[in-house]
Amino acid sequence: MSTETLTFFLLSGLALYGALASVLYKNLVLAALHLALSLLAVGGLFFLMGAWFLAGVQVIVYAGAVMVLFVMVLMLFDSGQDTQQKIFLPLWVIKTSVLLFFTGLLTGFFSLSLHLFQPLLLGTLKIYSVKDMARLLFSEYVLLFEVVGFLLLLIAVGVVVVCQSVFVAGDKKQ
Amino acid sequence: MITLNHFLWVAALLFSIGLFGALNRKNGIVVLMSIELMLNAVSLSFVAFGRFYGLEGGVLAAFFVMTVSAAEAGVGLALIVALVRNMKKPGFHF
Repeated sequence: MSTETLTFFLLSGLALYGALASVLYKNLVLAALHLALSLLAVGGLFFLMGAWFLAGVQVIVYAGAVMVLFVMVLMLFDSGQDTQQKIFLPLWVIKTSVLLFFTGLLTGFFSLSLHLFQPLLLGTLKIYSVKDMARLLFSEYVLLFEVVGFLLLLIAVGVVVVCQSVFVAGDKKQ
Repeated sequence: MITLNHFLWVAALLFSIGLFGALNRKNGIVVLMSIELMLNAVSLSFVAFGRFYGLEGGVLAAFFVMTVSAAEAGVGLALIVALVRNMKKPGFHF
């Protein structure tokens, strides 16, 4: 078993454990932290596939900004515990079986086309550098880039408007 | 030897776990986190396909998915903050 295989299984195990823990924990802060672990593990998988810049962006944006935002909102309202969560066994069994069926359907499609995919070889690993992605972003995908920039501006304005309406409502009640 | 199918298995399992969390949990914050997980699984499969077929668009697609997902998480959290402050209840009961 090579180091590549070992790293892959370790990172996927961490990602799956973090994902399971984040949807099952009643303690919300633990759930958020386990999701951050899962996102870091997927960043490691990106690194393993040669997308180094994307791995860095994943760590910085997802695990570093989005999850910190989640934890900050949880701390802001002092909601460490999800006290309303009740798990009734029959309904949970039904949902789990639906989930397993869905997973089996997805992976069944993959098994059908097993012969089409080539194995991952370190010799042919292409590193997607910042220069390559920047060249593509500004030449072929420039329209998409501009649209995403506009979307981010929209999001920033929208968040300010939503929070401002909260403050306005609070003032009106007084 | 790691093939494309290994990465797709991981992405499918992550997506299914995220779907389970989004449908099973009542708490809004956990639903948002499960949606993040699903989008992350999709970007993982994008990068896997891009890597195994030599497409640079796979990595860029994952880049854009990540951007949109982060923006959507910000708006979702702002909405939850507004909802909690207007309802004046301790915690998130949805």
